[in-house]
Amino acid sequence: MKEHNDIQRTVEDILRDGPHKRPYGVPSDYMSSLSRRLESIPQSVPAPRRFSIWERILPYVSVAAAFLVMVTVGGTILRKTAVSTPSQDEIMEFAYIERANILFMEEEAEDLSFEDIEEYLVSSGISSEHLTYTAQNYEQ
Amino acid sequence: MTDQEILALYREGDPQGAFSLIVGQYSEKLYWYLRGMGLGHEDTDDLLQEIFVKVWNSLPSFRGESKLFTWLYRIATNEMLNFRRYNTVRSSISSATSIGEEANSRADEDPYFDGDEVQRVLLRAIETLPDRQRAVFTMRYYDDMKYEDMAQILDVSVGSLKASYHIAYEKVKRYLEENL
Repeated sequence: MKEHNDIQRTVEDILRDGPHKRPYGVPSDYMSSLSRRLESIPQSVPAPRRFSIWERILPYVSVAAAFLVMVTVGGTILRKTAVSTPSQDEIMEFAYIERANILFMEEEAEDLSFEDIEEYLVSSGISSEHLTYTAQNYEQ
Repeated sequence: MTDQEILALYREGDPQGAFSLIVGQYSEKLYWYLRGMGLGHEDTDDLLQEIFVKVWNSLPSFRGESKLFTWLYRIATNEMLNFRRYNTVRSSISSATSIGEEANSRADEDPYFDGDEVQRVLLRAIETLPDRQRAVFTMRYYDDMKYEDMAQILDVSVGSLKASYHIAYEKVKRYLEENL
């Protein structure tokens, strides 16, 4: 019991409010040599620079400029390679040519006999039922 | 020289002069802080080099929103925690030693230990604590640091720190009662 009380007192004494001395020594002259070594760090490590405002925003400006160039060049390329919209004259010329082709085909069709048509249909693989239907509905 | 005067010197265009003053005022304090966290002499020496290189590289971005002292301790704490995590993984892979066994060997084998047996048992007790509890206990016990300063260093609330300290205190007390 006495020993327990002695231990309690010892523990309370150890843990009383600080500060307390650390139970370590150091090699002689260690602290002054430590300071000398640490103070030489600026000689071996390049001096850190303070960046100006412009240097800090430069990366963001570069990205924005690169994006702008990409959009401009890309847009130009797309415009050059896109199919151009035909002019009104080109549309009219195309319509005239197509109309001429249709008229030519109609003239040719007027010269065709039923036998010509039948021969064409048979060679194209149409069935006999379809052929009969066409013959019944063909107007001469 | 006060922290404000050191920072003023840095802003006036003498970074090396300011850095030398920081080394002069804080290198020993940080050395003992790291030793109190359970690092050996050689590991502490190596880590201090890395810490002060980081301080030198980070000085341009230090805006003075926190005290210089809490900023330095925060860098030291982060580097120390990274170092301990790295070494815990490495030693567990190489020798399958448990954290408790490793803590015992460090307290017992430190060649620079110059305390008595009670202090050795206390060190073993501290080394069984998780990192945050160990940091809080060490800063209170050895440096009598204020909770507000610890909160800035460890980036946690004062309330959380007080709880951590209380838990750490009870653990250390129980360990001492069982092992003395």
